[in-house]
Amino acid sequence: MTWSYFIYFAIVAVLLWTFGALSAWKEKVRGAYLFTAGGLLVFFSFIIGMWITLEHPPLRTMGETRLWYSAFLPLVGLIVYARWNYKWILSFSTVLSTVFICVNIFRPEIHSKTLMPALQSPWFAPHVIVYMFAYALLGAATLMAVYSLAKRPKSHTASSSGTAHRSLMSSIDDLVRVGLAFLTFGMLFGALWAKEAWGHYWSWDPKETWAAITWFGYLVYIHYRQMPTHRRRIALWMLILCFVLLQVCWWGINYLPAAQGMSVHTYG
Amino acid sequence: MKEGFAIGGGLLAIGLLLQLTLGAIRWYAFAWPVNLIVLTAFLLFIVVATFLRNNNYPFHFLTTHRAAVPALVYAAALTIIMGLTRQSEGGSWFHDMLAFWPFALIYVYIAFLLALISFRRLSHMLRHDKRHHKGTHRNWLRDISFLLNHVGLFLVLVCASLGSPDIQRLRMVATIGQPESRAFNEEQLVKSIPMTIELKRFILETYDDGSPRRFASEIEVLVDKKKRVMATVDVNHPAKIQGWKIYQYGYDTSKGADSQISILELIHDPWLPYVYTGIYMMLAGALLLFLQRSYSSRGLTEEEYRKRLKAKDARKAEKAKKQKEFFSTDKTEHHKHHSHHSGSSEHSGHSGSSDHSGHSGHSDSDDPLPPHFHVEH
Ligand code: HEM
Repeated sequence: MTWSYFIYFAIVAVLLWTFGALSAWKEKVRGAYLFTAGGLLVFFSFIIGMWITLEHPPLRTMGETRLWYSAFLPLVGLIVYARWNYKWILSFSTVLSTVFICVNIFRPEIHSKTLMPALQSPWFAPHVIVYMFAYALLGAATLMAVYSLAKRPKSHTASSSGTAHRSLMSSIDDLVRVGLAFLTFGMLFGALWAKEAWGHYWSWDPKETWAAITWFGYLVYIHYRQMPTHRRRIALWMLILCFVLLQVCWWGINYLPAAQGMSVHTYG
Repeated sequence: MKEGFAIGGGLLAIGLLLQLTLGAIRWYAFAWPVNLIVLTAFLLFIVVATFLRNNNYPFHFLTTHRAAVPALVYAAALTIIMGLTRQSEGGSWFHDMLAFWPFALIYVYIAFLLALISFRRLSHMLRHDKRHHKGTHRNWLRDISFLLNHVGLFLVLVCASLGSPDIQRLRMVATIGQPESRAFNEEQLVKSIPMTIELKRFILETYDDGSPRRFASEIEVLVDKKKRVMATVDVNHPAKIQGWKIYQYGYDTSKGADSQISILELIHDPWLPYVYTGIYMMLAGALLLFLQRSYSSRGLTEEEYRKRLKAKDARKAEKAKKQKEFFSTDKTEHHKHHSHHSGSSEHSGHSGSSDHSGHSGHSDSDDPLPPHFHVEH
């Protein structure tokens, strides 16, 4: 198996995932499972083919790791779908996965871009994939928070609007809780990896510091929401602020003067 | 919440005073065995505080969300400052945040809160188990998840910070054919290590463009002058010998694959197993968080909430009244009686009053509702 076959596997997989996502929207649960699982089967056969040809897991180049994100996104999407039946989650994971697939198809030169030895770790893929998924979930929660803030209740006494708010808020809480779980995984996988690669599990370099900040931010939200006296709008604004912090952690630190030349996590 | 923010503000003020009078924190002063003594004192203090909190408002307050949320906000804020300023060891104030007293005090405070709420939760679980309350059931999944997250974070925070002065991080230049037992610390002082290392072979593999793909050292280690061990040290795959981890650090880049030397890093961190225990607990806790149902998925209406609030107040007033009676009648017997008494009043609060029927645990939480109930505004 080589990269030249990738496009065929990718097209079939993306088509199947798209059918799966559409079935989920139309509440055809069985179709959603079958199509998404079928797409995963096709995509994973390519990965396994590569594995056999290369004689090692395809995890050494940037293109190869991107292959794993593309596969794991629909997988985790399917798990979340099975757990909470969100209609939109499969569309979301399909779109994100397609973006990574397109990068691999349209910029083939990065297939051979090499990974420095420190990145060749079994922790690398899980660390990054889990973070990507956390970012995706928390992004979705933020969108829903913005929507909820923008939508003013039509009448103050109508209890139906209260019920609508409540179900929206509990979806947001579910997303944040699962997002925080993934964020925790990402951070701790990072710590375990750092110990193997750099000798210490936590060095407070800028990326780690901002990861901690983001994590604390979402902890504030989760605990604040458990207070019986909390205010819904304050909680929602917190989520937006947290997402800003998340952006700083993800790419913003590349532009922070305090972080220039300090981070082991910027590889150019 | 105001009190919570006031406590955090007070800690910041104390921290600033300490920073002004004592200067930055000298973590090395906590090296073994001082850290063990500090940890023991801290835990003893927490145990005492746990017993006090039943009838002591300040300690009770510390186990509520009204203390936790402000503490987390302060931690986030100070960490943001850290993220916005350039850090260097020995820097002043914000520029060496890890040695900045207010930063450290807020984190100690968080560890303290974590320990308090964990002990409290544990005691609730044990008491519940003994009594078999009728009409209530504990949600064990929730309890376990709570403990894994909170105790795990406690272990990580405490063991990572108190253990940091005990970490030894040494460099050694291993040469082919020359057993070496000298390693240097960051101040270039020679440190003794319980082993001798000889480089047998240095390996360098490159990509087609010449950039290194793998570099590794095959070494022979003589441990305690008797046992010989062969090991390969790869980037990302340190060798583990006698409590030390040996890392591939560098090589003679001017010679490349023909390098006759290999620079190794030797790290000894006696507290690592405890930190890892905490990390694994948090990983398990995060997994359970993933499985748990939303705490807010069973909302209450405003009306139900007010009812509960009133019932809670009434129960509290009654409890306070009974306590007063005890104090005024017999002070010497108070302790024995009180524990019995508070237990039974809690019991009646659980199964006696109808508005308590559906939920689990949290009986004497200061928040009128258990965390999984909430009200929208
Ligand atoms: C690993 C990070 C943390 C996670 C994932 C987490 C999660 C949670 C969850 C899910 C609950 C609800 C428990 C339940 O309903 O059974 C909770 C409660 C609570 N948390 Fe945390 N928390 C974390 C860190 C903290 C920290 C750092 C503090 C203190 C500063 C704190 C203080 C509290 C308090 C006071 C409660 C209420 C306890 C009770 O009512 O029994 N938590 N936390």
